[in-house]
Amino acid sequence: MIQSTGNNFGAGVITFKDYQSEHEIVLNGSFEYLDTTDAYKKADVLEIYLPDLRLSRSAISGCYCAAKGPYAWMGTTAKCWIKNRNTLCIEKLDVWTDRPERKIWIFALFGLRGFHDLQVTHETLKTPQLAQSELLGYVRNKYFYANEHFMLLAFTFSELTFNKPYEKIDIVTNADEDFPEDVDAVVPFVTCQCDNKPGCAIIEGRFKDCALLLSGVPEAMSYGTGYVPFFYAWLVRDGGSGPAPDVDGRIRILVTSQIQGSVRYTYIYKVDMDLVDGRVILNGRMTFNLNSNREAYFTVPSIPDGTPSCDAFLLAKNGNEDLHSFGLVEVSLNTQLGAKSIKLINVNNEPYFYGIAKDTGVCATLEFE
Amino acid sequence: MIALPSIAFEGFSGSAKGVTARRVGGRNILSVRSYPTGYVTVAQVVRRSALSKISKAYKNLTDDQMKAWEQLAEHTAGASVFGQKAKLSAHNLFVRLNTNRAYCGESILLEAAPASIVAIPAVDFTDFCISENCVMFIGVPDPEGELKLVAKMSDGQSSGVSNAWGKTVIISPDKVPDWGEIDLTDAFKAVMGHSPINGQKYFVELYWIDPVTGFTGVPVQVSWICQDGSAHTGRAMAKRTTFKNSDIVDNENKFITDLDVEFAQGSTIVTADIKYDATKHNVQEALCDITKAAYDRAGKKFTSVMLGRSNGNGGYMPHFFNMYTYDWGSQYRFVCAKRGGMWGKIGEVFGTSLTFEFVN
Repeated sequence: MIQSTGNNFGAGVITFKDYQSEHEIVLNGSFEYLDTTDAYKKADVLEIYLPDLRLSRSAISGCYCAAKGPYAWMGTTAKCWIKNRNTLCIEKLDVWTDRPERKIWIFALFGLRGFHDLQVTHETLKTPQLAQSELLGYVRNKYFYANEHFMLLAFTFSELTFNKPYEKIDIVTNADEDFPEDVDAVVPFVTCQCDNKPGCAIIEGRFKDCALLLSGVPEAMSYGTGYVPFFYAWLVRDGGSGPAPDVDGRIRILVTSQIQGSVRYTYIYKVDMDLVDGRVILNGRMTFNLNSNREAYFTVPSIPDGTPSCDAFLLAKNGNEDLHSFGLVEVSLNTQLGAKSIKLINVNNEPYFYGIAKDTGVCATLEFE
Repeated sequence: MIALPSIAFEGFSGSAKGVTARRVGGRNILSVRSYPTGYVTVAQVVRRSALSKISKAYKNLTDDQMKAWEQLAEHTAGASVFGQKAKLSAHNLFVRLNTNRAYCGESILLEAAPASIVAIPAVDFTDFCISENCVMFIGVPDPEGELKLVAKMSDGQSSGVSNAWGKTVIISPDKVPDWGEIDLTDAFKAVMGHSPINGQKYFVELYWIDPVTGFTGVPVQVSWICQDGSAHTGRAMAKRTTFKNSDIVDNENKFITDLDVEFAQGSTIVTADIKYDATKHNVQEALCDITKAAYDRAGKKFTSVMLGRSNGNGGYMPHFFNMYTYDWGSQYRFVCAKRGGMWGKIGEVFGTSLTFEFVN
């Protein structure tokens, strides 16, 4: 976190969550101010003064700025850049003359220019399968990238006009793999609702616990092409892969890879289980192979103390891409008498089961030590 | 000039066929008319055409203005001759500063003398390269104020030549550092008509000029034999990987009016500041065809995502774009396809993002 030491447009202290390296900086934060202050009127460019940044300057980046309208923040995108090690500049986009309350969201990546002697390299972008708890619209144009320090998520909603969306709360998650769980930010979401003033409505959602939560999303203006609400943000990760600290009673079990003894074709790989909600609900995300035996035991020393013994059934799709089938796997956690093990049981008629489970089940035979 | 104690020319003076004879101090002096042998640069043309005008303008100054120039001249030294700096006259100072300003495109004459002598720093840099592909200085700090950099270069000399500073000509009068870089590649080629040649020696002189007052800094001089590596690190130095307006193919697919994209090699960062006018395009995208050289420059086709917005007439609608390149037969295309927001046909694409492998 970094805090501003001042600014030239009359805002208060501004706090950014930051990631800084030799080549890039990611800043996350938002702040409000009034366009009626003398300081704002005098400023040609909005400047925020910060403690020493890693970069002495940056190329142009993008942020969101808005003025408070009768129903929502109405805004657009603006340019921002690092002018020197202590100054973040934001384009002064003064197009809402009768709306004095202003807000800026910075969820931006800042980088350099001027490199000469290195080759251009590329990252790998993912196209995630985004799932919604409520069908507010069709999710399209999905872009997701994450490294250990920050992530990028961008997507659009098309035809955001169904079922009185104002009343809905939508939770957007990644069905392929979880979004990083160490991101917590109140983020802007660009709708396409307009009021004949510059820009369109920007509402706030929250990215937390691997999901984007949106509420009060207004209807878009039209079905027509071109009216496409969107989300675009560079988000700083807090670091570490432990459980979120504010989830009381959560138990998490992580296993990277394990083979059952010397038995070939019987292994678990990437197990990630949560026992939540009074430890009755088990959420599991795991890849396993039960091709040699119907049952397999795995000793997992990392099972936290106090974890109850329990059983649960999880749905799993067949990991072989050619087979569009699914099955049920029984997960049995044993912590009785000091044991720490997981048993997976193939409860299908098919003898071979190489599966990927992403499911939440109710724990049966819950027994505390 | 040739001085001949010839009796034949005793008492003779005048010019004939490029030879001028005159009698000075009891000696006959014969001089042959000289012709410029070097390259005439744009800056030299400006200087020569402005010189007469500026010189005459001094006579039209008011008495107070002349007095101010005289006072300033008293504190200004001319070129050093045998270790003793020559004094500049007020007239010479007026001409010198105003011709310097003319270099930088300042058309209005500076009639009032600057209040004081302006101290101009010397040009600083961390490395430079004179190769067949690249004449470039890097690590040049941004100067205080609005200084511009004047670059003088000689054409190629034999590698054994140790002094050819008199053969330097101005190849660029008004450079400003672009991310610490002074790129003289195109300027050299435009003035000399060719690129540097490996093995030949080049003499370079750099100094800052203040276009407001006309004062210049102390020139920094370097000489270097043209070769692939840079002077300090020895590594090959190439021009930055960018897409600029000069990379746009002027055809019916030109919907980008200002193209400025740069790849920060090694860090996967890409930055963009693009203006588009897609009024005559039926698709919600800004695109243009680029040259194969530009397409190849970025290594291979890539994809990225950027923010943007429509202009005022389009209601400042926020956009997000998918920015990518692809080849279409013999055409190489740069596209900013609008993905999010309400499409405005005229607008901007800007921001910093990462370059990603192109995925169909």
